[in-house]
Amino acid sequence: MSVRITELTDNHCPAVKSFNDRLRAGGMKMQFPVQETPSWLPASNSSRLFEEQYVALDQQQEVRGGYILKHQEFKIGDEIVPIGNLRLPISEGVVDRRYASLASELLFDAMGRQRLLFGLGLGGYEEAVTKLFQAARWQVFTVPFFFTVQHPFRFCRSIRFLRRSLLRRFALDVAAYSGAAAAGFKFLQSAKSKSQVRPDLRVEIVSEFDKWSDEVWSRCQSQYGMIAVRDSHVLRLLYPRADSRFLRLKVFDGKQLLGWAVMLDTQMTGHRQFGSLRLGSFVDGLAAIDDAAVVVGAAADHLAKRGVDLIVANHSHARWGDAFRRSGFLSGPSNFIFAGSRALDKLLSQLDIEKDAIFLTRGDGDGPINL
Amino acid sequence: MKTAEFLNELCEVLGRNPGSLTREDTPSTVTEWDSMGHVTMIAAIGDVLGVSVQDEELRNFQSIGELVDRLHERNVLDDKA
Repeated sequence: MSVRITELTDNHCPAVKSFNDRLRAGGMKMQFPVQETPSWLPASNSSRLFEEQYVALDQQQEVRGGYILKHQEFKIGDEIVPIGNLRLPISEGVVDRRYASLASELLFDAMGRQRLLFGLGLGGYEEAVTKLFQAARWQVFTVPFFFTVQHPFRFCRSIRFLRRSLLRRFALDVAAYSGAAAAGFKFLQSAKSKSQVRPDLRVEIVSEFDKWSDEVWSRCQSQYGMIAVRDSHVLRLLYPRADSRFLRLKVFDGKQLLGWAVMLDTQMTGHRQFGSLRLGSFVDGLAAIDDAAVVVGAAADHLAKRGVDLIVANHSHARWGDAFRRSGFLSGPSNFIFAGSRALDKLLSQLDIEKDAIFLTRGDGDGPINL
Repeated sequence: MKTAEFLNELCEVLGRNPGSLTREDTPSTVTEWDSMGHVTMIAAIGDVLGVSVQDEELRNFQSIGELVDRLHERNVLDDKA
């Protein structure tokens, strides 16, 4: 099978629609974008944060696969380094074995455009894309998942991914109606550390990231081994003022700005994991490591006051993981996977950057698309 | 690196016993050589021999003999198999 991989143009869109139709007919939910200009992070002259879309064309000019390459600057060690986030990739091989080798061609094509590459999210170790990255001998690890239950009764009655069998539904209903769930979660989540209790703690919801976030970035970036640039320019692109879903929280100790958090408060309906829960998400945040627990705690308190049932977060940095636990969060099973190319892994090894020092949140990769 | 050493490296990444790959082997004779096994071998070629995996011709081999011949053409193996 001979394919040519090229950047998506408007001319390819009818073929992309046909490709998506074939995926759908084969039972795949995943679809490739059908527009030349990416809907998220389109390229512009002034930004080094943008996406490109590539499609694989066969000799009849039919689209047989594609991927999205998100270009973004990271601070690695002491350097600012452009890195690629490989999104999707998807090939017709998932529904037609004749194209089974195409996924690897997409992967190697992306590696040719950007050697420092990573995938994030992926959906778990059983997913084909994760297996592809593992086969390519990329560094793969799980980004820890944290959660805190605010309304145990509603949690037990609505959490769809736990209510999968009759026995489990019965047990969760007993826990909900007996009050055992409320008592249990109160006990488990009572670990809030005294060190994060600041008498002069103050929070402020803002509509936009501005120069103040540059100050946080300048002050904190050196504490993290690998972290996506989070200055005001980048944050305005990732969490734009026009998107009213994002809650942007500034956290102060007295007059001193400690850091910020971005959150979502989403009423789920028929969600495959969260059912009809009102879900609070800690999407992103930045502070000095020693202030992480204060920022996490402030964000969680804010979401709790808004009335969410459950608050969730993913974070790869070990000390931020401690911060979540110290703020009463529990650890849960995670299907949020990081995969870094061999070249990226080599660079991190050369700089003695361990995976615990890598800073990744739900705001990285393809962003909080499912929250 | 000599061809035999290289083939043993491929055996290792595929989880096979050393010496169990020959020039005649193809995806139909090596159970571990599915689409993922192919990716693993390409990644190993890049790692072990330091050649670019962007070399499309090098990636599209249908037998071990074909791969070895292409590596010899590129002078990355020290001997003839």
